[in-house]
Amino acid sequence: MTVPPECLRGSEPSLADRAMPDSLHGGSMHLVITGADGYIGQRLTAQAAAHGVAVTVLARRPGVRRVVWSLGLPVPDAAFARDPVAGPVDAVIHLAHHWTTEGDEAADPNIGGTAALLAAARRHGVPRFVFASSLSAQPAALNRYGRVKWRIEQLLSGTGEIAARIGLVYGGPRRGMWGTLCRIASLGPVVPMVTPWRQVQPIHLDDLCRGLLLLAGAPGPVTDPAHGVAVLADPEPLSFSRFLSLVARQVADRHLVVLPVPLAPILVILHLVNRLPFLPRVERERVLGLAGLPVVASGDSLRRLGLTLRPLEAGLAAERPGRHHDRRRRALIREGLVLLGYVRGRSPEPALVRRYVRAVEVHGTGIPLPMPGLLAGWPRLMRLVEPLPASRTPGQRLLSERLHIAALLVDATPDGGRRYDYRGESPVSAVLRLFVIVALEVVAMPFRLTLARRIWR
Amino acid sequence: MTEPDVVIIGSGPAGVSAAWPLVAAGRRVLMLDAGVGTIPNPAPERPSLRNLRQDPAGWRHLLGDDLRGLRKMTDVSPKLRMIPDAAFLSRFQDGNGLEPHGFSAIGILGRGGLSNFWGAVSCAYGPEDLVGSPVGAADLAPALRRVAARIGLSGCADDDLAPSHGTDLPLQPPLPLSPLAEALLARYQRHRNHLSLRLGRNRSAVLTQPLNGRAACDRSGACMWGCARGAIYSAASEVPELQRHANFALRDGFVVKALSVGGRGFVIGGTDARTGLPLHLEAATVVLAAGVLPTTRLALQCLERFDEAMPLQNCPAFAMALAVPSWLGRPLPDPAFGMAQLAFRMPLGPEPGDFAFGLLFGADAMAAPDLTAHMPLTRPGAAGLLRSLLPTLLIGLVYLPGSYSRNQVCLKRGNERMADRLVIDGGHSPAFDPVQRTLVRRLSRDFRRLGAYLLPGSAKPYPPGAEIHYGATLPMGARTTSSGEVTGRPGLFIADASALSRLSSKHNTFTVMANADRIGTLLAQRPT
Ligand SMILES: Cc1cc2nc3c(=O)[nH]c(=O)nc-3n(C[C@H](O)[C@H](O)[C@H](O)COP(=O)(O)OP(=O)(O)OC[C@H]3O[C@@H](n4cnc5c(N)ncnc54)[C@H](O)[C@@H]3O)c2cc1C
Repeated sequence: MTVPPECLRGSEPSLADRAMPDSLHGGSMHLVITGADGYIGQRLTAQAAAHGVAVTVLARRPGVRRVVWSLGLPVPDAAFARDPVAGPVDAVIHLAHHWTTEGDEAADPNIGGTAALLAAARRHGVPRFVFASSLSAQPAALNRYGRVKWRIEQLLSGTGEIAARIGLVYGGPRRGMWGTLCRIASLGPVVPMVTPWRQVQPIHLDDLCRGLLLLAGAPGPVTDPAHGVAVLADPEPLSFSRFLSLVARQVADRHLVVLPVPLAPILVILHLVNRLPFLPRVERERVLGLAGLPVVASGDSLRRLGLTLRPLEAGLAAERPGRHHDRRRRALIREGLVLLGYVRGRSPEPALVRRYVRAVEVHGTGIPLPMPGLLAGWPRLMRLVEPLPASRTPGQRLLSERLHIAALLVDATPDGGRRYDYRGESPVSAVLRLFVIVALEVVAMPFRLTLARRIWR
Repeated sequence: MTEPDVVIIGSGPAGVSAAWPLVAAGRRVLMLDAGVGTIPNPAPERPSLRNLRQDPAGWRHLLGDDLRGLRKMTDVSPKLRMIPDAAFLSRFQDGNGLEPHGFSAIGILGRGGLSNFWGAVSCAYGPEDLVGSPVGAADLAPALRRVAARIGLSGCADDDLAPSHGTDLPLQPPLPLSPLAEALLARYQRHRNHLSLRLGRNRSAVLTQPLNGRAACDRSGACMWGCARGAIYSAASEVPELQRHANFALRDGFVVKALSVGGRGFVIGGTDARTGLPLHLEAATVVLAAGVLPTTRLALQCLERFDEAMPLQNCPAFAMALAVPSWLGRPLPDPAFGMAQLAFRMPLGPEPGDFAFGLLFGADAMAAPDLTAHMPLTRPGAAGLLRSLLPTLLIGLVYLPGSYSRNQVCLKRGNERMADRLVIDGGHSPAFDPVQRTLVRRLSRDFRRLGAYLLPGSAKPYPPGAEIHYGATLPMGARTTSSGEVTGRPGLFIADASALSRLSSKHNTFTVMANADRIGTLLAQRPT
């Protein structure tokens, strides 16, 4: 598709922002769209799909093709039709879940639906089937969700059939559990909570998606060979109340006090509340789900996949609302000023900071690191809190990477270049200089050993 | 071209070297290469390293316009960071169905292969390195001379390392040494009788005199960022010369995925790198020169040797830093040649060929942050320390023979969707750790006698494979004949380091090129 340049100009509201004509509602329409990867096309496709319009995308690269199906229906063969460019289906990623609370658990539609999908995938020789399970999947989980997930996991038996046990997902559009958490976090200042000391293992939505795609595509053994299970969750659990106060601080800029309440009375109250007419129902299921999360070791799974999770605070910091992009950019600029100023010994010029921001966006995660305010005023204080190269926590490693980027950038400026322009001096003064440098390092070392780990979590 | 006589897979040093004698003998040669177009070189007008470092716009050369020099590539030579295609490694591994575990499987799908980035250290395997090989030093000698004349070697014919680098070769004058390297070498001459260390100039495929349209080294110092003059040999520069011959053709963008017996002899299946469409070709004679890992995979596939673990050698290596305290306070010289200055060897055991081979680089021709990244110092501390230490500093890279590696490759059958995979399991032999520790101690002692001190904690082993010396999966005399023909698959030849009987600690590319030339020559003598 060629878009005439006038379509791309100026302040016209985009196609997607306008109301949809009535004729488009109802789902009987089938559009063929070209240029769906472009600026207009992406939004148009998403909008059309959101309005139930059937879309076939004609694109240079393979993309999305939609086939109508829902848990409980027979799986149409079209779902596994060969793509003319990408070939046969390489993997199924099964995320769909039908939220149920009643009826015979053994006959839960999720189990039957998944079994049908799995059978269809096997029939079509699809080599990989990734089922989105949960950390709560256990035969005796507190809530039905966990028990149903566990039952479904038992269906997976072949090689390449993988249960991805997923931790507490955060980030991205504020929907699902993440949306609820954001709303709770902005309620403040005091939030009553059932068993707030429960440990949770978060994972950012983008990291999760990366993990799922890796599971779908990685050759060879990616799961624990004995069980066909891969765990996608932070290896370092934290308490739910700590998580929620981090969400409150990073996302809603407020302090949160979590008031623990015991589970039993809450369930009684819930039971009563849910019987009262006109009051919003609170899902007992969801409350139980939170109370019943076990801690599961995920380090091995992540290593096997080659997946590094972003540190929680950085991930949350990037989720601030409002002019999200600008905020992120500004935070990266602040970070660049600190790190470049530190490695260079004087404040960097704007062009260098811009280069830094670009480098982090292109070669790093693009997520600003939380910078203690004191460092912004005195970048040199970083000497006392710079992590050691061998440090293991993700926050420290991320900072080391950023410092390396800053150091290489400074090295490629005339300032850095002058360091190679050493005209010599008397050996005595050279030795003295080395002595001073080493002495300063020795003084800084205990601070680095104790402080770095706390600041860069 | 009508029906080629020989199809060569790969346009790296091995492929090009096998091609020359065949083309010269009038055979019709079709070269397949997975890369599309050429890998860009730095512009000829790029300023010297010193000027780049003082120029506010120098970062465009040092890091790339798109800042590609900042991309994260743990444990990989900093030279590879400047490759424009950020996904080159995964493209190489995916394209070739490689599945490495604990092994850095490095390669590139591109014209000229890894020689676009190599360090150009060129050693000829001698009798001690060829023990157990059906190909002796005398068999290789004429080919070594031909290749040396073709690619241009500079070095010294009569110092202590010359016998190890190879004698009786046409040589251009050696590259100038940095004053520090010069001083170390002079000191070595005085003390050599008390040392087990042998030290000499490096031998490299870098021109000091113009040759075949390539210019001589102008000592700009920016070698680590690629050579703007073509003084460093790259196989990519020979492809256009080959193309001047009517009986040679290059088909690029042909990613070979499968090799089997059939049709006119062999069936080569692949995909077009531009369109993703399947490709198919038949040939009576095939020469594999796609680099050790891809070549091994294709050969095992053709032999239908699935699920059989076989040894793969690499040269376990480590880096170290030496400081010469008496040079403290001396000015830094202008950068000159930016890669290895000196070479050394150190015996390990009584057997012939059991020695370590090493190189010494000047530290000023590298990016300082790369040197200091692993130091436990703060960034400003490390930068200050390095500024004062730089004039005294030499970076060493030390390689051990392939016998100290313990890697395995195993071909796993794929299915309709997934190509056959070569699973590579990396590791060092149990002897590596103790031998490396002793070696570090002995090197440290001998260098100390020369006034150079090993910086504590600086000796750091590379992960297996990261040094990019692979080979000996299809050794001549066992899986291949002495003319490189795969046993049981007449017409299929191996021209790269896969065919070496074992890996010496010395760099093997020059020897591999000579062996490929020898194999090409033998093949050209056969009746069609
Ligand atoms: C930074 C660095 C420094 C080095 N320094 C030295 C040194 O100083 N001395 C030394 O001796 N060696 C050195 N090496 C190693 C040296 O570069 C390699 O040994 C040499 O390039 C191997 O040559 P080759 O022709 O066998 O394979 P390659 O150079 O790997 O070339 C392989 C060719 O095959 C093609 N190919 C691969 N797969 C396929 C496929 N499936 N289908 C079609 N075509 C394919 C590629 O496009 C390429 O053209 C260094 C390497 C690096 C990266």
